[in-house]
Amino acid sequence: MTSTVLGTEGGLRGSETVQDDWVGDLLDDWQGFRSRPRILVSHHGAGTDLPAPLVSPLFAGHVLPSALYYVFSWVDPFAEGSTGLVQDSPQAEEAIRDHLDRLIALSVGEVFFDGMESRLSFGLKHLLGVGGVVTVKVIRSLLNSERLSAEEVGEILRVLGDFEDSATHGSRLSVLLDCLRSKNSRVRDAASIGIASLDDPTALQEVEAAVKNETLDELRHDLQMVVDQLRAGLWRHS
Amino acid sequence: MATFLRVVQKNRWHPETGWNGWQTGDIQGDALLDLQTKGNALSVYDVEGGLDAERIVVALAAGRQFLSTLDYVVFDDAPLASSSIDVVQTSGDTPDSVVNLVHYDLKNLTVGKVVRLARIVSGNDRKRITKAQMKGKLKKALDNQWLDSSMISGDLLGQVYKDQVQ
Repeated sequence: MTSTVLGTEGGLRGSETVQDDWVGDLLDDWQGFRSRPRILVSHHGAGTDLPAPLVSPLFAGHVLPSALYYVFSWVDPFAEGSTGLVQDSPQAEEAIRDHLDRLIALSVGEVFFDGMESRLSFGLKHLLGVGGVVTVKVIRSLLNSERLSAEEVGEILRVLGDFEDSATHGSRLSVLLDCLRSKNSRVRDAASIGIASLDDPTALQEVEAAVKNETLDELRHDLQMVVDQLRAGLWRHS
Repeated sequence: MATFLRVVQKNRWHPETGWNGWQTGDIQGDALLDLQTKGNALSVYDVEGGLDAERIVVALAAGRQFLSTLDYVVFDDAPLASSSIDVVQTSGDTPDSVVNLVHYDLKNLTVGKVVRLARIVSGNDRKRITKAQMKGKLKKALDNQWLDSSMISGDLLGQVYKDQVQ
């Protein structure tokens, strides 16, 4: 048996090595936590090299890859600077894409409500926390693939707006602004909600342009509310 | 005579989608996600009962886990009667005890009645309170002691009282 500690970056608080059989019980325990910890998972079986740390997208044990041992670590999800533990590399991108795909597959049939955590939003926040800009890059490519439903895209864009982290702020804003130009009105609306959450006045010009181009009265009105909010932000900062 | 309020997600009700074959008056299938029944009933609030729509929406937002934008629709009860939809007053479960008094269930809903309800909702304006606006309104409601803070999630309270200007 080998075991490892994933590191001490960010708000890492501790780690634990457990046998495969115990994973389900451990995850069940964690489900009861009010403030759910971000879980980093490093897994390795006999004769394999230890891969880069991955994040468990969900608590459910069955989504974890089969391995002899897991090493869990937990991170304060609100600690600034705790994101981006994964270095940008093709392997990291591949690993995050794999986790994101599983997360999307597990979220099929979920109904999303404003202000409520979903499996998808919870898993995404964790992936953003660990993967930082690499995760945003993977999300952008997933959105461009156009294989997600408007419901799923909406939830992803809401998370991109709500996630609080300065390191990924610019890349998240860039994805949201791109989605403002979507052909789908629901995607444009979700992007506007995300942009309003980021509340970054540098987005003002592009949202103003979106208001001018918007053909749907209802959505134009909502986009104008975002413009008003961003203008108010400019005045506050000037 | 009553006027009912229900929380929806505006973009599920957008009257244009850009799909091939979309016709004026069509309603997206996903709009039904806003009318998902539980025990064949749907929850609504009466805005004619002396409370304005905003107080009701803020009470509903206070029951969520996080601060967020909230969309809602307001519609007359008259078409409900003509659609044979039963309306029964029951207690609500928001953190605002006054709002809970104007809660109603639309009961014994069948698929046909839900579709008729979708037409009613679709024919009315949907409104939005943004996340930034909601923060101020929740703060005001808490300051006025309209809300039982013990019923509000710690995450949401933290966001409402965070100093950062949203």
